[in-house]
Amino acid sequence: MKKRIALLMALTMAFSVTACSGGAQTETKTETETGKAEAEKAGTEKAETENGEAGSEEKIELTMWARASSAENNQTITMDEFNASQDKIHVTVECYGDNYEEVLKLASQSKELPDIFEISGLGNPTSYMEAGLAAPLNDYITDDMREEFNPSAFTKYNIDGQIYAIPHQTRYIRAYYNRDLFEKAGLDPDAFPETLEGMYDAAKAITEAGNGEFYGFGLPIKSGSTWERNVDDIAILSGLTGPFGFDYTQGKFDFAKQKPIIEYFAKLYEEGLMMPGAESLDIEVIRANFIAGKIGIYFDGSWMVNGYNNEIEGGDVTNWDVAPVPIFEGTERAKDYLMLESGHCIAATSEHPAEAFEAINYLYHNIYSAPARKDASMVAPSLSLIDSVNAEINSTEAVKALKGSVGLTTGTENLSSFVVTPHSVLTLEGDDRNTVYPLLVINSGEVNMDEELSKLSERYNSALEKAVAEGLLKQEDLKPEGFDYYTR
Amino acid sequence: MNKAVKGRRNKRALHLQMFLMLLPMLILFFLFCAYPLFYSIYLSFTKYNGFTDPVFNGVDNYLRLFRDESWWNAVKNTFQLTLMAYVIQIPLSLLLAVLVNSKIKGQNFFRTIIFLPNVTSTAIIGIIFFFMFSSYNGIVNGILMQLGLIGRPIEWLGHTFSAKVVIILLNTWSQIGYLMIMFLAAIQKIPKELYESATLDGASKWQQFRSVTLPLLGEMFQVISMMCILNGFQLFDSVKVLTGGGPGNQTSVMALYIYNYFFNSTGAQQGYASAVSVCATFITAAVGAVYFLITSKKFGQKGE
Repeated sequence: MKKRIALLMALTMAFSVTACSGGAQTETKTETETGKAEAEKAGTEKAETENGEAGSEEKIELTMWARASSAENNQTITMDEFNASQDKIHVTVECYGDNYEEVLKLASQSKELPDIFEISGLGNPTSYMEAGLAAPLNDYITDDMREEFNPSAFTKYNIDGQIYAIPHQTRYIRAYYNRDLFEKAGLDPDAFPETLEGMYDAAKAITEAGNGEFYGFGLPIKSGSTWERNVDDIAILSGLTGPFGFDYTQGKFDFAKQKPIIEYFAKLYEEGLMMPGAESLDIEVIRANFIAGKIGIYFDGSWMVNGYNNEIEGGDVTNWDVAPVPIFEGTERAKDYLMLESGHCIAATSEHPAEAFEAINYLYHNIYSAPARKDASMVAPSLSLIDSVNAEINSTEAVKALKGSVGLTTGTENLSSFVVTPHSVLTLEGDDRNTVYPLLVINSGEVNMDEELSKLSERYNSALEKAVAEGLLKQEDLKPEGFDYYTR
Repeated sequence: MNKAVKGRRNKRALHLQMFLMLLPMLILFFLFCAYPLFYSIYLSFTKYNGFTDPVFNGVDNYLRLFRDESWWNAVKNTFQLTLMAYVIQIPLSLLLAVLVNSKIKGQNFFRTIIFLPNVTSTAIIGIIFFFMFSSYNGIVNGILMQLGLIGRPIEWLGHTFSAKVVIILLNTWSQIGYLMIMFLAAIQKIPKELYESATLDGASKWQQFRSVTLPLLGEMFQVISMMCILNGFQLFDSVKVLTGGGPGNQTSVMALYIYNYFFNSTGAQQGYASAVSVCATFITAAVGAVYFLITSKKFGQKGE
């Protein structure tokens, strides 16, 4: 008898161990305040509509999934405004944070995608479009819209002439500088240098005035995106290469063209004009030191104007400003680097694609202005892909009074995106650019830069050939006819 | 007859009982050890980015592995760091063990102090060392500058050689206590009579150490050395926190190299990373085997 009990217990134990793994499926998601209740209501309403019991006045319920981590974000605020602005459509926004891609993958496998899904933070957004999970938007994009939007809007997610999404996040690079440190070094804070030579002199003057207290330039070598932010941006503005050393005039990678820029940063490093420890600093540390008045100049994304004004502690105290990124003396300024991200797809399975597009269209027109209408202190200079929206937001007194808004909005008409950025789809064999460049800047005296750059181009180009052979890239996209960095 | 049947039944029930007792552990073992192991061997023959389905590509990953200079550089670094750690840590920990074993005041205090770093997580030690050796506001640079020994902060982690020295320093600091405790246990197993008779014969402390302690450590010495070596081959967290393998993969080690390919946020190559990890397993196993072959002969003879 005892043995039987023991047996039974052993069995129960074994079961409980295995059972844990099945039951522990966790799903972290946050919804807008009323989200859950709305969703339930939607379920019943939908059922009613299907039974034909409800009248035609019933609202059309749409679900939208977003990558955001907090329930209160620009997208939910804008969609709340959209829901209140009309009584035909109601959109419920569900935010999934870091788990977003997992949730989306699961939903796409089981064909349970929401009407609208955001493509922010996805490893390979186009794979969803190619898999037929998203509906083409061409039928809904009117000629008026095409005139209203920056042309880049319709090229980012264009596959064989079909547009699957319109990006709504725009990013570009600016030089951030500390006006007080400029003054301490005897420089004019209203005249940020337009040339790299001028920036070198400024960095030197600031470092000398700092005498170990503060430094001329900040370069976060530990952050992978550093090279895109610093080297690539100058290369693009100088008409040398595109992002990641890709040269669209040759249709291949040519890192050697970026050599003068690498040498420039190596010189700043070697002469001690950079904040020490650059080799082990990441961008967050650089930002913290910039706000603490330890760094004179550094390059960062356009979004940090909003970050310093509204989010980062002390950002409102430090006397910082923004200016366009300088280029070498005597070079002609090419088009600026516009990075486009995110955007929204309409699921191919959605029963109300036209209504979903109406919601997306509202989102694109209001995603920057709706949050400001809700909370005036959250106003931020913005770059919408719609010029009239920019003009409207940037002309308000609140935006004009914001720190950095002049430098940020100067020259935005010069911004343009690249249709294809080949580096993102390559399977590289060997060290990538972000691994090699730090070595070239830190140990510039000990390495053969020409050799390293040519080996780097070789690695990228052989991966490029494979990607073309596998059909991931098209040869004609790599070398667009009549491509020019100044008019692209 | 009846008794025999009953006995057999009892035996069978006993076997079943034992098997069921083992079952939870076996399930976990297969789930978290055996299955991932075989799955990564399978993945090593595929092209797989962790996102799309794995595509079989034969021995391509292994061919690429042999051409991959950065990988062999990481292997070289691993050997280098292991050797350096071994040469420093084994004599030092043995010396400490002998010292704390002798009749000194505050014996237990010293034992605890030396062992303490081993209780701290390597990642945390790594962060502390990172702050100590960071070129801006680092304690080490601060002291050196205060003493007037250097005029400008040294980039300890920016140069290959100094970065490796810091890694070894960290590793030694955190491991030495553990090795010392192992040696201490081994030393205390040696019969006291041997030392007494050696003293009677007029042997000095050094002679006693050479002729009594060292030879009698025997197999324990072999095991402790092996642990020190394997510890070197598993080097990961300290390098990850201190240098991240940089500058330019110059301080990368095997485990970090695999990690970087496996968990790369932009374009992971898990198929290739699996092939590299299979290769790393063979290298580590080979080093272990060679070590045992060489040492077991030596210790084996003495043991007989």
